[in-house]
Amino acid sequence: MTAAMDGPFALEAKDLGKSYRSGQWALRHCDFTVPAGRICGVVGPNGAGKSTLFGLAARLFAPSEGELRVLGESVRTRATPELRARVAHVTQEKPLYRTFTVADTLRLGRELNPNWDQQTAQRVVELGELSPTDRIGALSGGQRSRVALALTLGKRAELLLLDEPFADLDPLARHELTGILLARAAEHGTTVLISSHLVSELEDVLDHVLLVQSGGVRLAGDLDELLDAHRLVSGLADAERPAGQVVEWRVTGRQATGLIRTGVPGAPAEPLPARWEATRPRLDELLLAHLRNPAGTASPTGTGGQPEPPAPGTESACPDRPSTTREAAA
Amino acid sequence: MSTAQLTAPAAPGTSSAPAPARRSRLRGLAWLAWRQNRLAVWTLGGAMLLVCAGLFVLHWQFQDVISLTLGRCASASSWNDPACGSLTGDRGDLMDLYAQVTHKPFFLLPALVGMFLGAPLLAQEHERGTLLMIRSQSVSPLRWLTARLAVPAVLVTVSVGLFAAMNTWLWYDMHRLRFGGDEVFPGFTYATIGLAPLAWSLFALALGVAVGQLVRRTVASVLVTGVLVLGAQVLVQAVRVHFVAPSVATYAITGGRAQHLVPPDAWRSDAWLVDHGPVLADGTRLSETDCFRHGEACSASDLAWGSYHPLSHFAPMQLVEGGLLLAVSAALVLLVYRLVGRTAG
Repeated sequence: MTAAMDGPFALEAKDLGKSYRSGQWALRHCDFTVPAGRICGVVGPNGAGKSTLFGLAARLFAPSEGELRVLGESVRTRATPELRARVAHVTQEKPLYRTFTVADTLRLGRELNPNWDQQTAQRVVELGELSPTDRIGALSGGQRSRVALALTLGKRAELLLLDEPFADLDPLARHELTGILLARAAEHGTTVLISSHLVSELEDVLDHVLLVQSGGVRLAGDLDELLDAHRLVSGLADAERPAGQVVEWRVTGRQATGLIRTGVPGAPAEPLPARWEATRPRLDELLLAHLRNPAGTASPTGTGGQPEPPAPGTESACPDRPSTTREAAA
Repeated sequence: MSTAQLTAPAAPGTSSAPAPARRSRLRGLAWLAWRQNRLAVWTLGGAMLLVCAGLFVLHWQFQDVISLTLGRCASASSWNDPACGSLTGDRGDLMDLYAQVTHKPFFLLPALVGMFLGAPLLAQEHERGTLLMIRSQSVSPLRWLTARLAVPAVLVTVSVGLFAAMNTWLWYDMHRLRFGGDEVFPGFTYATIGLAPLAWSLFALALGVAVGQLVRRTVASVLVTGVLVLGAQVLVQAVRVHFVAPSVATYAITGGRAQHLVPPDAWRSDAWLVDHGPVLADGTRLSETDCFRHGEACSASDLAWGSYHPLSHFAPMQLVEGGLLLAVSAALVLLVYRLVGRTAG
């Protein structure tokens, strides 16, 4: 897993920014990388800029500032059909032609994509028990999502950008399609970016995380390394706080609980003092703690914190919103 | 069953797989463009074919009347010929019906083309987000746009062109028979024969596409396109007279009624009388309405003048108008390409 960090990047952003209206930034000062071959979750609240990030990567619009390289090519260069064949994108709305039948839609994919994989597309559709003669306009939202996903998977792209792909699917379908998606990704070394609200469901699936909040990338990195670098601690409130950067700190009566960043990703966490009970956080705990404390609002009275430089490529700095790391460490 | 298929490395595409693919031999964008315009081709193409078949039957019904009118019954000596007594008979009602009902509404054809073929073309893609889906395929959006526009453009050219040719042919029949409703220039006939239906329909198509791209809402762009096409028709109707310089004729008269008289050439039913009035002794041409102020001079005049467009101005006038419309259409299409291409990357 760690070797992948050195490999080619599927996505590489440097000071990336996008504004739709002057003065209003949907995304700004974003630096992150996603190594090729990862299943990367893009999580964050509504309106955080996830869809903007996907649109930039899919070349729906150009960045307003900074640089984004997708599969090694800058998104500012003109997209050739070969380049288009390497990236598949399905937007949140999953638009399809309503007058087309399911078979027509798959044929559209076959006619317009050189590497079309009819078998996978067909399987995705058939598992949903959809007839090829069903009209898209007559399908339910979940069935339409399935067809849109079939169109995306059939493209056999190197990078899949899936914006809320499972939002209106039932749990069974979600499980089934995740299975197909992972099998395809593993087989072909596909990089997959999935944005989703259903963080806990994706924990087993993801191996990389981008946390997007208020137009910036708060956290980016390998999932295991991120989780290893954080500790969920609890103990007596008056005890000396453990070393590390405080992401979140709550005191209830005499009891204190908090999430602490104990080490740089990649390096093993330092052992905590015995009076603190420490556990490795789950993905949703980690993300929620970060999301709840957008500007490092944890109590500044920590004593054990020592300044640590953020590891390159894993922590995003968004100057208009001071990063958690720096403020908490101060 | 689902898990078995899920893990099977290569689930063979069973019987249902290739069946629907065999229907059409078109490939790539051509297939998509055909699939997206299929309904329009069947409806507009079918309707225009029906209309053209009707016009052909009408034309064919009148062949003997025309040959009699221009042949045996043309001379004065044929007045006693019983065959020349009632040439059209009850077929005259048929021709009346055509002239009054069928012929006239076709000036609305361009507006309908713009509203129902042009306006939804891109507005619907924007409204439903399907342009994003197309951008996610491995084709250039501009090549897609070319295919998307080419099919309706060819459809309009062929079907409206065929209609215009048939209608012009039938109009020529009526003209030779000196049938009522033969006035070419003012009003509806001008818009339904010659180059006009085709040029206006292509213009309306381009306008509808451009409006759809700018407005991005289907219903709104349909209405806006309809209003714009009809507005353009009213506007061009008003300036059309200047596209070709009118001919001028004079006519010597006696009795001082020059202000009310018009030279015979300008008074023909197939000519378009632009202006007329008396010519004064010093050579000044007054318009009829000027005579309210120059009553004396008008009644003293013994020469009437009239400016008019004879039937021979019909073709040059339509060529100028068609050229203008096609130039505007080309500019609109170029605008659409720029707008679609700007964000296409």
